[in-house]
Amino acid sequence: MNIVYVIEDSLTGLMTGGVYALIAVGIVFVFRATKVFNFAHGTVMMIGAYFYYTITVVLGDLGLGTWAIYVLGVPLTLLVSALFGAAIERIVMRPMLGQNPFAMIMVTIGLISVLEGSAAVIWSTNAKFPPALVGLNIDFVAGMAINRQMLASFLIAGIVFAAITVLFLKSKAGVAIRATASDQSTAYAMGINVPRVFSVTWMVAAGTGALAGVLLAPLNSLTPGLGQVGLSVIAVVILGGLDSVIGVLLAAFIVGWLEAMANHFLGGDFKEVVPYAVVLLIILIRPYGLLGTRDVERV
Amino acid sequence: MKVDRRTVLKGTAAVAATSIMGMPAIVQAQSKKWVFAGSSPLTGPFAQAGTTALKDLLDWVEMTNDSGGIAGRPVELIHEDSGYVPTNSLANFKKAMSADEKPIFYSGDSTGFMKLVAPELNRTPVLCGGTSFASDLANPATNPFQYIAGPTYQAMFDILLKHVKDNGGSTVAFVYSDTEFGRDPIEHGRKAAAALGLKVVHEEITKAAGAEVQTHVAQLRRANPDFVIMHGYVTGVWPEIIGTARAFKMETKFLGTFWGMEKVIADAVTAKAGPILDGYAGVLPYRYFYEAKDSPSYSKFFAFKKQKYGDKFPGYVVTWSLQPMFSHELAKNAIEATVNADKEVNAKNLIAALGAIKNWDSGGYMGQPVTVVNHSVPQGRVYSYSAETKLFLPVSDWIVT
Amino acid sequence: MLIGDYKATYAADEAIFRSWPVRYGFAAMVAGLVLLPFAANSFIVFLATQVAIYTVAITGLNILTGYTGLISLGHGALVGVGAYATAILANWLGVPFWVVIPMAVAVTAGVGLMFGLPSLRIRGLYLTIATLAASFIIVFVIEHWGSVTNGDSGITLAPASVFGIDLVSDPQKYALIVPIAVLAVLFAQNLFRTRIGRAFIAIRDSDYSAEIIGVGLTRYKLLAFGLGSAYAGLAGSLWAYNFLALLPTQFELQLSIIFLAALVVGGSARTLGPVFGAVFVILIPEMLKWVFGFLTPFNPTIVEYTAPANTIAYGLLIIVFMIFEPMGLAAIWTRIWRYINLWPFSP
Repeated sequence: MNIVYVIEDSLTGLMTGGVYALIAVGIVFVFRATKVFNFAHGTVMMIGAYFYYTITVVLGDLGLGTWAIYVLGVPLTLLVSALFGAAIERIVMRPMLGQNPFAMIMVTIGLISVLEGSAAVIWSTNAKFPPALVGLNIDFVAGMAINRQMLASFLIAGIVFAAITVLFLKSKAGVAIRATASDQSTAYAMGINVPRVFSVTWMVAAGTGALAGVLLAPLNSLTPGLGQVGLSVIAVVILGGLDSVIGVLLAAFIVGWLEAMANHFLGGDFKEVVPYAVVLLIILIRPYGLLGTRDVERV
Repeated sequence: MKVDRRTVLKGTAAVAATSIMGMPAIVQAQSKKWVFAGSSPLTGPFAQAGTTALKDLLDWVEMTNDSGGIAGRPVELIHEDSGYVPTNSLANFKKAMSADEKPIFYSGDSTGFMKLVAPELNRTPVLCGGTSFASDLANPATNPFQYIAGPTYQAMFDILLKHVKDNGGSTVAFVYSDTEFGRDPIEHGRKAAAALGLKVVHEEITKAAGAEVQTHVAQLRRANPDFVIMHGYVTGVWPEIIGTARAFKMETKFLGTFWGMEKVIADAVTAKAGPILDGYAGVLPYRYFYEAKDSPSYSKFFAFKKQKYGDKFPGYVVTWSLQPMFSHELAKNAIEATVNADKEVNAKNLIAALGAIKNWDSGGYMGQPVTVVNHSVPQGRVYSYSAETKLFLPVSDWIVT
Repeated sequence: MLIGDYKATYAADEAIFRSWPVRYGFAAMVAGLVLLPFAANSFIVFLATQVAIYTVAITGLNILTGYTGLISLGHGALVGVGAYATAILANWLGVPFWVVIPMAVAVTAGVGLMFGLPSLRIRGLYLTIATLAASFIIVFVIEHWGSVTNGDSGITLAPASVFGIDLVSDPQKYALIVPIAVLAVLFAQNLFRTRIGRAFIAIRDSDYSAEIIGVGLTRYKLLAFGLGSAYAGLAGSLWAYNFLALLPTQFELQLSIIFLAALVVGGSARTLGPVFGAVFVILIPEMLKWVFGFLTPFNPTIVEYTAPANTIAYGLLIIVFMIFEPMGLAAIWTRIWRYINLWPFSP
């Protein structure tokens, strides 16, 4: 065992964790406000990545240079995705308002099939290769490989994450979301437009999801199957505590690091199962995740 | 039990429902035809390969029928989506086998299906080929009705390891996906490498699709093998591994097996990331389609496509399509042999005819005459990709293992 | 003629078949099930057998999730445990199926109990994830414990045999599996007329309240896991004898999600919910294929659109059903029956 290698892999794992956090925060947002665990979040992210692909193709056809991807491509992708999120909320989730959460979770599962199928019809199942925001380039620092692409993804994820946290804590919309989360009917009574809060959370979720898609899709090829990543992020969300934004950040790092370590010490086939086993142990010790709200139940 | 209006209605409804569903999809009076059935992954992780291959296969059938069918009878092709889920493929198989016109040939779409269907084949035998090269299937004793349209994955590893040896390599690493497909030849590969005096310095297991590759490549870099053999991938992961390895400035040479050797993918990767795949090599049991000048079969298909689609036909047919086409060619050959020998066309005689194929000229699909050994065709050639010409070009002779 | 759902005795209130239409409906269904193999081709019989197996599995999930409120995403993996236990025990011991099935059920119940232990500490969605972790761990073990499970090459077993006849054809397997499934559903229906079943429901509605009125949470939560897993084990056993070949990948998360979807679409906490759910997830995809096959008989080259369109239609059906009837198909069914029951005074 070489300690340098362990550190190198740890760094890679932590950077992967940054992207996980970006994916997971969308699930947490929607869960906080609407109490729905959105299984379709990964697929929403996949659609966002396709939006990005389409927009870059159109920008390319217009003859604009690479700069256009940063100046127009990414903001447009986020905008379109946010609108898309709002549309899903309005068309599919709004009619379910007040229904039992179980039925709402099922709707998100149905949504997975609808979105995957739609992507296959619209963009075909052929693998697409959208341009990466930062090219693949590896620097060696103190004998350790640092992937610029991953580092950039990590930094972007970090910035967005910080921005969202601030929004969540300070802005009026954030307060409305938290109020809705803690008590829906009281929030209604206090004049908060609860349906609009739902709309906003879906927009934020779809936007952050799309950004994660933009970062992830160029690493691999883009196919309708990209949404499967969403499932592996479930562990992150639960470990973080379902409704804690900070908890999820912490959990994302832990899971990313665990994956890298499982791969390092045990081999790639352990990469998926070890984080789940550890999460299982942790929630046995802390039944509400790392930083989740402890329900106080009155009988 | 009192029989009243309601129970009668219910009963009739049930019978009506079952009889409607029991009707074959296409009812045709004419029975002088061969029904070929199969499953394709039209959705799911291998949808790209599945849809392209099915469309080309339909053209192959049309071309075959235009030139008189097989032994004077036309072929009808029935394919259904499986989503690459073996259980779904099995349901498709059952459906095909319970139709009024039973298929005489079934084409499976995954190793999993080939394993699930084995007990069924004992009861409802049918000639069964497919997209899998799994080594277990090349065993007439345990899988009497199944065959492989090429070398087994183990044989592919033999060819690749020989290539490593011939090119002065002494250390090799295996990278494979965490699936049955990926693990199939690994144990054999270890032994074969040892027998050749090669050292397997590392094995890395990844997800089959959507894998984060950096930690994997970091491990490879530490092992620093002369050659890396990648297996168990189709459209993804293998290009990312090579790309990341090049960014790591690794000098290692990368090798692949059949499903990871598609020019369309290699070209797309080159267009996006530059000439990282230059020198990537791998084993292919068939010629690439652009070698049509060496292959009358390819030339014929080319002409057919050109005539049917005109300029919309790009002039290239993917390797994912060549595989099922060759598989169907073998079935065709078996049918013709059975008919010519004046035997009844059933699963037993067909597989016997297929197993007895010797020194058959495949019309250039393969470079050497085709001899079926253990229900497989153990030959192949190593091709290497050139980013400049965007072609995989042969770097070895045809190797019969 | 009934003009209302009035019960004059406790016996009537507790009856399994609450009114004559239900009674005759059940009889008609049994008659239909007996006649089916004679009327339909082997593929229909195969699908019906699949529906029966799924019904047993989903009934187990219904006990756990529908009645006791413990949402499980590990049920598919437990079915895998049952199936693998059946294959392994049958291969090792060479004993007949009626010995193997109870053993496999016991093994699965044991494994289920083990993964049910966290339920004593964690609740709600956190528990769901504990079961999700269980799903990953179980499939991982099946895949990697090669010396016993034959790893991801899969495992085969000899067919079940009755009086020296091997049950290999679809009607034969149907004759073995469907009666067992019907009995299993009846047993579950009966369960919720007993103290145990009522205790489960009390736990679902509020576990603390249940404890206060004297329901031992430890005991009943574990019992729910044990029973639910036993059903999964039974379903797995029947699955093994139906397919005779098993692959670890068949029991991955996807199967658990299908079970959960089937339960909710069918109607959770209803006896018929699992039946409708199983019919939905097995038959709807086949019917969609059939419909799309009709739409595109002359142009097979557009498969790249019809196959995903099929997926879209399936997802849309789930969404539409959930929006219009969040209580599931069983609720629609109840409404229809009520209408028939009260006819001609139906509202």
